[in-house]
Amino acid sequence: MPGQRFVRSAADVVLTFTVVTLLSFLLMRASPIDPAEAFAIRNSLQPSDERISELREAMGLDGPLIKQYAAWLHNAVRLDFGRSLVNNKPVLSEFAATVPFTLRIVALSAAMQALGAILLGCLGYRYRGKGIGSVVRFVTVAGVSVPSFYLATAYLDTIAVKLQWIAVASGQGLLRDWHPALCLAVPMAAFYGRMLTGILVKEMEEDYAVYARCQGLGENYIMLRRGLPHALLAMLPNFMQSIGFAVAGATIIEQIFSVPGIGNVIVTSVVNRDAPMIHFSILLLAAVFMLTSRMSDAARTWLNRDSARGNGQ
Amino acid sequence: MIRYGNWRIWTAASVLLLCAFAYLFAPHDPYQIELGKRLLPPSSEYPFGTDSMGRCLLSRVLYGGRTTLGIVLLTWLATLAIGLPLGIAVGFWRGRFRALGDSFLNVLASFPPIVYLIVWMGAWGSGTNTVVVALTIASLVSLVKLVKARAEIERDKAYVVCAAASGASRLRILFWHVPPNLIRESVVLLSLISADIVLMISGFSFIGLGVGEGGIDWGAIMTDGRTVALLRPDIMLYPLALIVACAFAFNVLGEELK
Amino acid sequence: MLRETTLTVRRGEAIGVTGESGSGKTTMLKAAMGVLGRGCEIDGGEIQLDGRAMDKLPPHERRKLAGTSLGFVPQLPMTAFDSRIAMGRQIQAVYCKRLGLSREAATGLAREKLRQVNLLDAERVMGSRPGALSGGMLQRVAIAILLGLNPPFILADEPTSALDPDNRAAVIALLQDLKPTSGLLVVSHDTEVLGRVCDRVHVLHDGELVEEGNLAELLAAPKHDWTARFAETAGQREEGYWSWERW
Repeated sequence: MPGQRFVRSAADVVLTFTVVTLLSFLLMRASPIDPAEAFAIRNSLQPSDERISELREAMGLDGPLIKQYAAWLHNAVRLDFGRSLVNNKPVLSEFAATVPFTLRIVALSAAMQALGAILLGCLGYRYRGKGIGSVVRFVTVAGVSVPSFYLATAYLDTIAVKLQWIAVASGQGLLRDWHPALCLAVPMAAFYGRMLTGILVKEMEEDYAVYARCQGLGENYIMLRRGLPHALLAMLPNFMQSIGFAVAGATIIEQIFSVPGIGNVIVTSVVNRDAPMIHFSILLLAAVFMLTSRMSDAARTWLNRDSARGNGQ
Repeated sequence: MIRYGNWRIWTAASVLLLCAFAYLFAPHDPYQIELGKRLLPPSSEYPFGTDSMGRCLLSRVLYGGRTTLGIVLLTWLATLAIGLPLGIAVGFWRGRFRALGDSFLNVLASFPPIVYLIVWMGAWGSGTNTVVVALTIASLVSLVKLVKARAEIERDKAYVVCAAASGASRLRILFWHVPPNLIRESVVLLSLISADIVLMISGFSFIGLGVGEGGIDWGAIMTDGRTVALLRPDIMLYPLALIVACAFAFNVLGEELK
Repeated sequence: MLRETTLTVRRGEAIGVTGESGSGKTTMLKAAMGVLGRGCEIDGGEIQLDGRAMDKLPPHERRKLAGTSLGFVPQLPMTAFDSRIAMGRQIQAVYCKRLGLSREAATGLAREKLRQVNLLDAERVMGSRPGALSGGMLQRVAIAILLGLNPPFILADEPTSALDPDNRAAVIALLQDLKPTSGLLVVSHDTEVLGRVCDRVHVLHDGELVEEGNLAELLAAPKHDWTARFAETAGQREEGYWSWERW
């Protein structure tokens, strides 16, 4: 029953969130770095112990873990995630400001990655066993072996700055986004391109492909119009997952390109031991991955149902 | 089975072993600062030249290999030691909350290692130990998911049930008869994760997190090299070459063992 | 694995090939069509069409023969068609490519041929995906395509093995209709097909042709082990409309 499944799903989600955030609380508590102390040191030269414990009380960092978590949860449900320990701005608005940046980059990167993967995948299949095929294979493995941060820096240092394509100081709009998006997309296009070739090899030996050949349809036609759609559908769940990876991968890329995105904010909070921000980061990341993995599962289920129907079962 | 004549596997393994242990042949102390000898070009005394603090670049690069691959090795050991038994045990468990546990595990496994690294470093700061622990947890989650799935399949197979009938507990059987395929699949999984790990470690060192002050890492060397790129553009390339070589090697290893 | 085999098919006649599973029957057909999968190679011998060696042709030329000179009837019509595309478009694709027709002309031809195989609701069939049609209907569509292409030779891979008795009879009738204009090479286990469609039947065993003759002769006086067993089970099987003594 779909209704029952939905409730189960929702319960799953809530439970996972709870556990994940609780774990992050445990983590921060177990950490040797004390946010109160870090804050105090940052704001005054030699804080006294009383000052530190005052601060701790004010920040709500004293008391049993459960109480702290309960307090955080209580506020979280009302969308109050506290304030950053660094600049005292509300956590939610700090993150909200960054989302559009990261979103644009991830979306652009997804598009580039799809195109690149399809290109590499088809070439890899079409020329498998021949010279170009080996080149493609090499490129795909190399693509995932080269660190994206190096690509990004090399790209930034040589191409972009030298050719003055980026006004390093400021810059808005699509033109600015496609540089980091490209650097993010390259390794993923390589990875998925390789996967696509493998799937194509399998699909092109399926009954429908063999029969299409018997009917006299050309190999390229069969690959593009029959095999490729099947292969792409088969890869849909993986592609959904890659969105999550892109968000994570954006962390380093954003640092390099100085994009004020989610990744950048997360890294900064980590460096500053900004506890409320870190807790929200974890929540956000968990949400992103849960969402993408659910979408991926849903895609898988839909595909199975669809193909079963298509085969008359 | 592994074809022992497969040159790709042996080449990849050799590259990795080389990078891991070549530090034993480092010509100089990688920490030794010689302010009078900064940014020297490659020579017979300093095959890669010196960096901006006068340290022998070759030695630093070799020690970087020790750091990175040392982390990877520790991660492998810890992950396999904990993950295999844990995965089998979880696969056997027929408790009431299995479905919830399953989806929880799936969500955790869907986080890429980078997330674990970020979170852990948030709590414990930079440092080699932190990195090892974070990466171990990240790999554990993936490995346990894999092993659990296999164990669930094996659990109901004939040989387990028969052996159980003769008195041994099912758990013990599976521990003793861990299917060789499982080990192979785990190694494949870990190899591919390791390729990512190598890139990640250097990536994080590059932006200043990662192994922190005391450690030498390829990423940190590259950051250094970046600032002096106009004078010595080659500094960035030595560690880069090794990063790529190791990541490539792990990828090849994972692919060929499949 | 297929060993030295020689088979000749002429237009207007139908040759049957039977034998146990794995004896190489399907491989032979696939080799003739030029669609052997990965890992299969032709080691020796020749495949000739009208006296010309087909297997020596470059792949592009070889592919052109399929659909124009050589037609194919699949064993599993349920999976032979692309599950995601409507039948009409699939038929049209073949006609456009092989006959050089425009889309409209191809669609018109498709409709006509579908009616010819007794799929009177041609519009519905053309608008459906394979999953919405039965195995028998799909096999008739396959034959309808061949009627439109009108190739001089047709290879059929166990055309009735996946069908129920009614559809079997329909397909057999269609194959008989195809005989006057084309040469048929039919691989089958089905004694009805072998008896009613084929003029001669060859027995393939372990990759070699071991026996041949009229089906009635083979069943009455089998020379090879396998043929003997085949004859036995054929006699024991209830064959719907015909019993084997008829031949």
